[in-house]
Amino acid sequence: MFSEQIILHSDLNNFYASVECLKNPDLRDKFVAVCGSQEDRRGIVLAKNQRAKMMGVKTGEPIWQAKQKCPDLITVPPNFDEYIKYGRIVREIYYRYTDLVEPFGMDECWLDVTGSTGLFGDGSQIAHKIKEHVKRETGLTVSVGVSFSKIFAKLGSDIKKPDAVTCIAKDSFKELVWPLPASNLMGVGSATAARLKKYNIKTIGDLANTDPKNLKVWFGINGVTLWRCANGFDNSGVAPFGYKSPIKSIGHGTTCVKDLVNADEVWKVILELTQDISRRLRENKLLAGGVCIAVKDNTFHYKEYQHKIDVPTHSTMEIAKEAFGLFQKSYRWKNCVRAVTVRTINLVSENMPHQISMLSDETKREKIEKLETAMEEIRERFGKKAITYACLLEDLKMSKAKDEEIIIPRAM
Amino acid sequence: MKLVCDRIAITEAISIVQRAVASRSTIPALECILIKAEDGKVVLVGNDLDIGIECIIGSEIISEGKVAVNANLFGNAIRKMSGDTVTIEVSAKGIGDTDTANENNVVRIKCGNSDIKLNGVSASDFPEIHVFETKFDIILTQSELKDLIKHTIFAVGTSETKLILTGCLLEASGNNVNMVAIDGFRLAYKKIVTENDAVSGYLGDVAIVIPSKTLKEINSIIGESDDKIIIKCSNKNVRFEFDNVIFTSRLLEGDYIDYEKIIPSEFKTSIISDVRPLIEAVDRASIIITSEINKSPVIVKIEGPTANICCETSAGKVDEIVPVDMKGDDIEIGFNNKYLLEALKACTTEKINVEFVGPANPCLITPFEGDSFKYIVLPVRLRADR
Repeated sequence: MFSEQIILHSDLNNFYASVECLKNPDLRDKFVAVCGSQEDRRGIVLAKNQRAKMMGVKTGEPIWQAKQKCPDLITVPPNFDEYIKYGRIVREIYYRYTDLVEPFGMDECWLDVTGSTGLFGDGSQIAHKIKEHVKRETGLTVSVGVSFSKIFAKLGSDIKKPDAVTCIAKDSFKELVWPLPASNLMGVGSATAARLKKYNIKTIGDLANTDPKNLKVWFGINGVTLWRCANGFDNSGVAPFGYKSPIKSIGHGTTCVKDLVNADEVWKVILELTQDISRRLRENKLLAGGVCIAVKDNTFHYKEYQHKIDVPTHSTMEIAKEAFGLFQKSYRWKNCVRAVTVRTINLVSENMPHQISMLSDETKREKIEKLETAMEEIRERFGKKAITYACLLEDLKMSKAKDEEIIIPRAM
Repeated sequence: MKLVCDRIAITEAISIVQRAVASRSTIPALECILIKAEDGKVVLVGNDLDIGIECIIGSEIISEGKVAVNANLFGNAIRKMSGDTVTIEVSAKGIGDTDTANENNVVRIKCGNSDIKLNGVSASDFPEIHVFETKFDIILTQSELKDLIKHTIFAVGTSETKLILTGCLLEASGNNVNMVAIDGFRLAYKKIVTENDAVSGYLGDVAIVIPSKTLKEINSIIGESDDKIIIKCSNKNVRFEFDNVIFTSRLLEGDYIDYEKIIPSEFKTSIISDVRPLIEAVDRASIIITSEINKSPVIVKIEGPTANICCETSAGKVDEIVPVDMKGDDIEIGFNNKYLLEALKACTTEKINVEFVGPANPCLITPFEGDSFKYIVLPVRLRADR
């Protein structure tokens, strides 16, 4: 139908750690890991530099474990503002080559350069140019995958790291891609990989040569999507500049500094979390038609619950009460609570006509609405801490550090 | 047990008691009809534990006894037989005189040239219908009860979260009897006046909440006749006695919504209109409402002597003008088309009053003359006006 797409996937190598090393050149030749705060019980490795990686330090492992592998490891706290800044600078470089740049997380982007070849050369040449520009202008290194589909471009950027370009061409992808383990394919997580193994599907090639009908039976429609990806039939496009995917849910969660031991403590955390959700719903002119809570207990057992809200709302109090009601109904208190996430779902536009119900007290709702609007206005002028609920003045067992929620966007 | 009865009479009785037979159950007895030949009469019983129906049929009892038999098989067998009289017999010995476990429960049905044997279930496995002491009776004619049900049941709640609203409120005070249904978005109130005092056995006003399923089944059994139906009530249960049928059901317990508080009494806008053109206009506006999710409202604009009913969706646009007598301020108000239409269709008078408080307040529909019904529809808030 169309001529083949040329997609680049550019991945900033060891992004957080590289930025830390740039800011503090003393660190450059040392073993460095960016870690969460141990006091707040987030003491895990978020990112590591190349040298620490060589020692076997892995993202996601606790600090003590990393230090066993690498006793000289220097841990530094994360600096998300810096990362966002650098991420933006690098993206500016990408925009010189195409306007079709789709960020995937802070450090990864897809670029569709199909239309740019006349100006800048073929995909591989553009990839090399980008790699050199990023290195020269920021000091960061990228690994770039060049291919005809987004999935393979991403796969390519993982093959050779750091500071490298890998091309996966249509006529030769089978030799390069198919021997790789299926878990390398985007969309195959550990759970899916384990299930695939049950059917003796170990490599991407195995997956590509399985009858999609069987995959549909085993994995539903996602199985067929995986099969298409493994065969390079994935032809999803790269989102253009300024594209915002529609918001499907707004949520906020935290891992508490200490375990929550009773319902009252959980209520306070839910209320505190909901305040931010409410603000973001208002900013986006949305109402929540449902709420979902995720609870992790101190044995790391994790469970999600959700239910519908009869009258869509953006009120902190209403959402918090729904979320807490759901918690009370569902949580059995076998163990204390370690982490709580509240997420609003079934979002509808504020301007959508909505059926008034006699079961909800409209005058009371309007009062709450006015109160919360006033609170938001005060906060806008005098800061978030200027006014709050009295019960939230106590110790909430929440980290004092600002929780920056990193939204990982999905593939289109 | 052995009995002889009219085939048509027993067919009708089966179709009545079958309404109380579970279509699929883990307990085989619940899929059965109990045939009881005792004390000189034959009674068919169905009981799914929510409702129980007993139906007496005229028949000649040759020997007494009882047995339960699968309702579908029994019903189909009798319906498909040809002949005027049916003989039903539970033989002392089973089919082929083998020593099967249920040898005593084989139901033999003879009619015309047919002879059908069905394996039954012991009557002792069949759940007894709850017998309770009644506190008071409400006495209506069948057509009166039908009238009440038909004009309110559409507004009954369906959400299990508000269980009490899944039933209709039946209130009786002297010879005033009314039924109320509320689903949270609308209210239907229907009133009748009985010839004699409707309540007996109790001095004062009475109120019960009957599950909608019970009312729907009752409604399909009773006719439009002036035959009496006696509604025997306790706090937890109700028994409808009419013709040859006794229909038992549990009641919904709990406080019903104080519905009178919801009915507005002061209005800013009111119109008088024939009901037919309003129904037709709303019906036509509904043509283009194709999506149940993101449902577009029907917008009613009342200005001067006309009501403008319009609707706009991605499918198109409809504009309707209905001449009305109007008093008060102009108003623009949105409704769920289904709620408005069902309320209008339930109006039993040609002319109605429609009264409004404001675009975010309930709208009240009443007859132009009399007080036989009240319908309230809550509007759809058109745009977040905050």
